[in-house]
Amino acid sequence: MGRELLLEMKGIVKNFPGVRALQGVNFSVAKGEVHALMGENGAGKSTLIKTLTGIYQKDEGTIIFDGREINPKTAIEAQKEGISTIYQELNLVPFQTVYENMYLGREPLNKFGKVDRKKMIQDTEKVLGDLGIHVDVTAPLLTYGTAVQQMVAIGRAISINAKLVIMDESTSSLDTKEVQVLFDVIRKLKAKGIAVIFISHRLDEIFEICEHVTILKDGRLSGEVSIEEIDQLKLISYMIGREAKKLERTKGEYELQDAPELARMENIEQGMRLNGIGIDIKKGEVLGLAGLLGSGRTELAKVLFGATQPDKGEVIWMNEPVHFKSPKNSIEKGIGFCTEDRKVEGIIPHLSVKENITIALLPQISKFGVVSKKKQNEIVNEYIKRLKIKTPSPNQMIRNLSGGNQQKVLLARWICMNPKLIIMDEPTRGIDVGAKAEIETLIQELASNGISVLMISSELAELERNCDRVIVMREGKNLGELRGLDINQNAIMETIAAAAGELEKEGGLNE
Amino acid sequence: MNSAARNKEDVIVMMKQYSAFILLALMLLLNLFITPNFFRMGTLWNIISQTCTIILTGMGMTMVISTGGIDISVGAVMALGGVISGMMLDKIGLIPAILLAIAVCCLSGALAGFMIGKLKVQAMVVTLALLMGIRGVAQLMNDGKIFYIEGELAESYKLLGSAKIAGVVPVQLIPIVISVAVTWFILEKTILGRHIQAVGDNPRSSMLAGINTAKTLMFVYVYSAAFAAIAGVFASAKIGAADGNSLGLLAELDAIAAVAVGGTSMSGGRAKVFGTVVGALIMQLINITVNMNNITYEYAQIFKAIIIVFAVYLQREKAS
Amino acid sequence: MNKAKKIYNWFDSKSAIFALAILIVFASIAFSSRNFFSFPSLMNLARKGASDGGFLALGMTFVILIGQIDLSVGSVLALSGVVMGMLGNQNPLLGIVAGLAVGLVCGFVNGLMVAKMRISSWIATLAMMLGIRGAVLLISNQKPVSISNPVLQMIGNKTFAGFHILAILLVLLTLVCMYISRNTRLGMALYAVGGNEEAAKMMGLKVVRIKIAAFTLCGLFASIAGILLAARLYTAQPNAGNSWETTAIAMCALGGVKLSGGEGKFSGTFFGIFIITVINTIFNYAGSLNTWWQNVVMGALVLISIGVQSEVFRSHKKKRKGEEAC
Repeated sequence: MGRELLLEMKGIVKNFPGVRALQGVNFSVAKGEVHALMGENGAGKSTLIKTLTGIYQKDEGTIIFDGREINPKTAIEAQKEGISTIYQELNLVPFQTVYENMYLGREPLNKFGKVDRKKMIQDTEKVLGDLGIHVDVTAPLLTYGTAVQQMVAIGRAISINAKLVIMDESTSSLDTKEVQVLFDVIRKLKAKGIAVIFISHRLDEIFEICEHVTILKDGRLSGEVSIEEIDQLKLISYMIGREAKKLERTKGEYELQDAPELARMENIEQGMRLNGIGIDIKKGEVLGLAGLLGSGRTELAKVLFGATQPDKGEVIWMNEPVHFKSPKNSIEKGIGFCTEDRKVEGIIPHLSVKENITIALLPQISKFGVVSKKKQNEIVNEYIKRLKIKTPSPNQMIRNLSGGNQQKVLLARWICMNPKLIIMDEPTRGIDVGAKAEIETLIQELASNGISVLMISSELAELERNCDRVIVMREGKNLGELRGLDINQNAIMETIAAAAGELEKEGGLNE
Repeated sequence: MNSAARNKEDVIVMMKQYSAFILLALMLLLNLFITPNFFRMGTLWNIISQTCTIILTGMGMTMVISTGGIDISVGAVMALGGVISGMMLDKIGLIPAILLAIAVCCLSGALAGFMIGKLKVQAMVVTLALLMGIRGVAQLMNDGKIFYIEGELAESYKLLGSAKIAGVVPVQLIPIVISVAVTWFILEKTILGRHIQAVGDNPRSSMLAGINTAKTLMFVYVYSAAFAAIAGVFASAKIGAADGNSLGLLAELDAIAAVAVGGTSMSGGRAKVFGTVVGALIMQLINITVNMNNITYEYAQIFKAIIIVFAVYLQREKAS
Repeated sequence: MNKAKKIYNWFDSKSAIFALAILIVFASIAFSSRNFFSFPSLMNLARKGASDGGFLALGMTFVILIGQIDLSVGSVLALSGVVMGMLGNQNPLLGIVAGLAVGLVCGFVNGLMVAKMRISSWIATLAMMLGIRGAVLLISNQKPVSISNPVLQMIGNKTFAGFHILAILLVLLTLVCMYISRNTRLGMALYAVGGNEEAAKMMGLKVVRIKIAAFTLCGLFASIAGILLAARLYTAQPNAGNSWETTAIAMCALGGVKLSGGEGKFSGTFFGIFIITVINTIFNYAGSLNTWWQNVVMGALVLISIGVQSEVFRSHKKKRKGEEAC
């Protein structure tokens, strides 16, 4: 293809306790190329980048950069080699001025040893001017929006002679115009011979600005193509495409047309993530939410649960409008939420299995604020049995359990409340096949008992197997739904891909 | 985590669990050897009566630290409690004076709880400011002079400090037993207790499980202030005077050390009530060892400071 | 809440001026029988500011700028004074050097605990505060040390053409600090570490060294305060500086140095010193109120300023879109 390679990563392996994050990944970027790196959560892209930028050390494999083999042990070393990263959470100092940020750690001194502010100001104006950015560099950084802040970060990278700039989800908080400005800057970088690794999940942007794409899936290379040779559907299938089906779909036709409505969300808007979306859930239904990373599924669920508030829109619960100001409100109405990140938002690590299961249930098993040990033990034993939670005793600290069993404990937390709706965000992530099957059986059991399940999953096969109905989301909008036997992986991927055209027509992302 | 590593971790955990008891045993042994007259009954009862203050403030501190916070104003609140009850004794009667003292101190606790729970200001900062301000109020109340408790009700008040049940057991045993029992009960048996420990362990998960973190925090700081007030009452009763300057001075040091040594994690979570009791005994033993062996009190201070730093440092290792 | 935020914002930007205005009015009423703005009384204020812990506030600013705290400054003040007293009566130079060394060492130890051992600065410096205080009482046998050497006495009391040495030193050191913070790499680094430590690390700043430097400087200034105080009073009290750390924090907070780190200026601290000193002066002169009120007011002031600085009231600063030209 005639690509002169700037970066070549070969056979990169990285393991963490219990997780094989990267299993022999090859990744290469050509000089002056704008190269997209894509993959869902857990695919390994952030781990790959961190081994490149010295934050992690690779276990195996080689990295060849600009003709030499390198093995950076710290972020600074990688920077010195010429690899700079623009992070999503900008690593700049908000209270200091633009030019101070540009020169932090390397301020020029005048002949008396005093920091030379005049020079800093002039140089900063020049660097930014070269990128087409003209701002008052003496203003504090935080008075500027994310877009300008990113330009400053990019300017800094250039001024320390970066040969490769990694942009990690840089467009997440930018509006349409700002994205275009960023793209212009990227083109200027390209003109200077600086390569860019563009990490993003926004397909339309990838197609607009990138020349080459690498897709990772489950720690392996899933695909590597040039942008001209691929379309949206193919790209999506590289990311979440079919896997060998281990379990068959047991459900048939859609039968819940006449079931009563349980909840409805209308015209929900929140920041940039939710753009006027609406969904509805029926009683006893297993409703799936499908979509790529960044489509807003978790954000929507959090609004329904009351963990966050929408900017606009309505939530209707059992035919009455409600305003859940905190999870306490929604829990009282009968909603439970099994979060995506067990460790950070789910388990209470040093408390026991028993306490984790009953933490939300306590008011129902207490009198005058005193917990009934007897009832607590009864419930805990019942659910340990029912969900087959493997633990030496109910008093074992939950953090000592395996991931799958922790997940079961969290599920038990909500199921024991006899809720009307349980929201499950990636319920089987990081869980072995056996436990997976158990959880899926459980979900069907709940539904047949009249409990609705809102299932967010990136695993299309899982959605295909378990859901009565699947709503497909993209960029915070509802693209449509599939029912009953219409639910299959291809249909879901096609729905996501087809929307590219529609969003274009609405003037969404491109000019 | 493979099983060999897990076993080693288990042993360490167990050692840490019982370390407080081990330390206590060591201290008792030490005293047996070097301190004359240590194991007389009189001394032991003395120890119990003197630990009253540390245990009371320690109970409040256990709750506060369990939520991941801290309260360094307890000494000042003690002073305020003692001063108010001592000075109002004659004017409104014994029980009302004590109740007033507790009520006023609860206001301080409520202010702390509000700023920490609702405004989300750091606990250290808030209670540091309170330490200053409340101490000042306590000093103000009698112009910085010691207030000698005199008058008709003085005798009944001082009984709180000196009475002996059945002629032998110091009256302080009552507040000790009650405070430990109440604190233990709340933390082990009630919904609130579970909420307190959950909030300290993982505030985010707790919020998502429906716990009202602001309310929980408000409770613990008011609780801490109330118990500090009671401690102040008993302390001033014991010496028969209320001194806004010196009452409760550095009491927070003893309380924090007691909790830290007792095994409650300084970063919040599981509360070890009996651990704190053991820790309080150890602190008091340090005081006594130093006292009865004619070592200057400052050494005790330095030693306690080292203990706190050490305990915090050790727990950092565990967490990371 | 929106209205409250708007009011707060306006107040915040004008607060310095407000405070000054209120104080001037307040003071001139209290001083109605004297001329407040006369040179002697302003000079008194400066001297008082210096001896009431102004130097502590300057040192504390370094530490607060990096988002930490130092509660041990009062104890270091006492220890420095006592050490100087014990060694300086024979050899004043030795005394001064020793006193300063105390501050440097204590500050360095604080820095090590916070930066290397990663112990919270609240706990580490609280422990130091107690430990050092214990050490002072031990060394001095709880008795004050008298400063008899004339050189030392002069250092605390000389006046040059009506300017008291303490006032001069306070102004001088403030200027030095302002220079450091504005014109040296260390100064820039302090703001960076306080503003976003992660970012500072990523940009190659040696964060551990910077933190240790900040604490060491704070310790140094505490020892300067201790030496000068003892020199002025002709005696080094083992109880000196007791609970002065809160005063120092109040001076910084009122001067606009945000406790969260990364924001604030030494000129602001100087202003904070001024305000607190005026308050103290007013209390000293308004006879019926006694000195215990100072503690109450100090505590209340700190509470108010940190409450107001809290996240809840922080408005989202107006984002200004850059005037980009493509």
